[in-house]
Amino acid sequence: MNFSKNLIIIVFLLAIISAFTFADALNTVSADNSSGGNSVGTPGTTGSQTWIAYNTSNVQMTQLTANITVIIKNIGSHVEYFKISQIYSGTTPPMNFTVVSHPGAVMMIDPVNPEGDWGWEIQPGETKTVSFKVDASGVMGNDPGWIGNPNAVSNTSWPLIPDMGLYTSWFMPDEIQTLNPDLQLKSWIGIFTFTATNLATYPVAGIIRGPIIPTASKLTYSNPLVTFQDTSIAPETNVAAWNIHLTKAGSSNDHESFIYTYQWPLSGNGSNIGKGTSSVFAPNNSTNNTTTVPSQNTGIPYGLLALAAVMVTAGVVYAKFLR
Amino acid sequence: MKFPIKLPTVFILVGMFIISLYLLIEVDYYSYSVTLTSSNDTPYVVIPSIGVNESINNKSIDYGVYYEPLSGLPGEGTVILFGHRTLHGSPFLNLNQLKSGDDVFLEWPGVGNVEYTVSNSTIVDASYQIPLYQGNTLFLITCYPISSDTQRLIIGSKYDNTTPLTNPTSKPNSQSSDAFLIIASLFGGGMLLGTFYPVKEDKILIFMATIALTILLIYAYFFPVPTDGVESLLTNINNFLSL
Repeated sequence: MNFSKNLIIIVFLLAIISAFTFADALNTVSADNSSGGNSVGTPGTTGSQTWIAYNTSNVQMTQLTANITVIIKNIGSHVEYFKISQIYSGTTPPMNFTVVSHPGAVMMIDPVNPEGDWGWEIQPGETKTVSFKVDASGVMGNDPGWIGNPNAVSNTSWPLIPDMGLYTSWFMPDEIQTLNPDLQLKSWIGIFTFTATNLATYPVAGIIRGPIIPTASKLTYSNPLVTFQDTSIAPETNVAAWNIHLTKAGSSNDHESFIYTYQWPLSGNGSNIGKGTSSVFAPNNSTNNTTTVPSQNTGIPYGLLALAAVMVTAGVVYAKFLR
Repeated sequence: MKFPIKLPTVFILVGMFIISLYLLIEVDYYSYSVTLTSSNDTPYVVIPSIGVNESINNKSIDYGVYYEPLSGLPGEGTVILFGHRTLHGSPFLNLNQLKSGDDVFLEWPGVGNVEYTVSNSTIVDASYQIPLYQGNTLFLITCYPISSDTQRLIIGSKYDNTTPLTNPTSKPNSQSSDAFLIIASLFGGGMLLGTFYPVKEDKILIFMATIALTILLIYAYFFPVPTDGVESLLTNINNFLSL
């Protein structure tokens, strides 16, 4: 068998493998679609995946807020604006956010939303810290916010919140760099809050995941302490997850409030970033000034010790046999 | 120009120095544990399933199991205990083996024998801020994975009950002899290396380095000083070399 025949066989095998891979991807997309658009109470089943569908939901989500602090640099040669919109639209059902705090921002011309867009002016070479707070309102916010929406559409775009507990909405904090290459993201910190309330006449229990999670970011605080971090939702995403038990509606423990903080980027030594500025990452919402403590350094890497042992051994071996 | 010391000798001397820094941390820990466990008011953490029976201090994690002073008292609030998984006596070496339902006891003078039951384990980033008000719970925290400082393993335990501390079962740490074993190992290993080292003209350097490093460890045992600087240096070098 010559080289050409080998090449033909390899190409043929690759083509078969690619075809199967593509078919599997199509099945996955179909499963995604079925999860959102299927009829109430009918689990969508496509390919090898089965999605859970709700008849109704017994846990209500309220008081969803996001407090964002962004440090951003204009690396371009002219002035730029870092903009936020008051309403994210184009999703079904729409999830409305109201910007309740925007220090230093100006109202932009030609807004993409009827209520207007806020923006921060950043001069060439300038690094600016931008903070703003948004509250959810409308269907998925305070008015009222149902965690499980029977008509929810599976969607991975900020800030739609699909069925809570089953899925999480994720987004990329550094997407701004793709949208506007002149704006370079230095850091991104988001503090999220929400409350889960049991409206059923019986106790309920289950896993609650953070409804909105940034990708490539690390969880730097949560209250209550997370039960685990789910890494299966999206690549490079550590979704805060809690195992909760709520008593029946109307009792004292029928609800639980959550707060969690994420910091972008994921890489880097977090202990250095957090030094002296822990209040930025862990909001103090108590009368006591201190509600959190940083982790102690509980480990010393052994890599250098192993390297030292190798150096001694290598020195002896070299002196004995190779010199 | 001829280099005065052979290259393999340089490697060996540098390697010995690095190893002695790690040993210094451990010797320092045993020295401190002798001092701290002399008090009758010392609380203890006892975890039968993984063989932990360690004294607790509120001065530094370098001295063993460290009680976060801002956290609550056992049975009354959230108790946070930190412990090294490597070096410093490695009190929480096997913390990852704890399972849901395992018992944890805090023998706390003035409070009693407080029993907890392990409920869950969580892994978070090293920069994670630990909430102080989590009800009547105990958090045991150490590094994850072993010998890494990038993440933390948090074991959560729920409060069960408190009984009078009438007959403490714990005993003070009696591991101080381990420090002498460490020092003797360094000395013996160094002398052995010097004896059989094939570069005759550099043997004296191996002997001198061994004696100097041994004296350093003996001095650290009798006059212990915090080793935070040494630990930071080692950690930074590890991170720099991506080890």
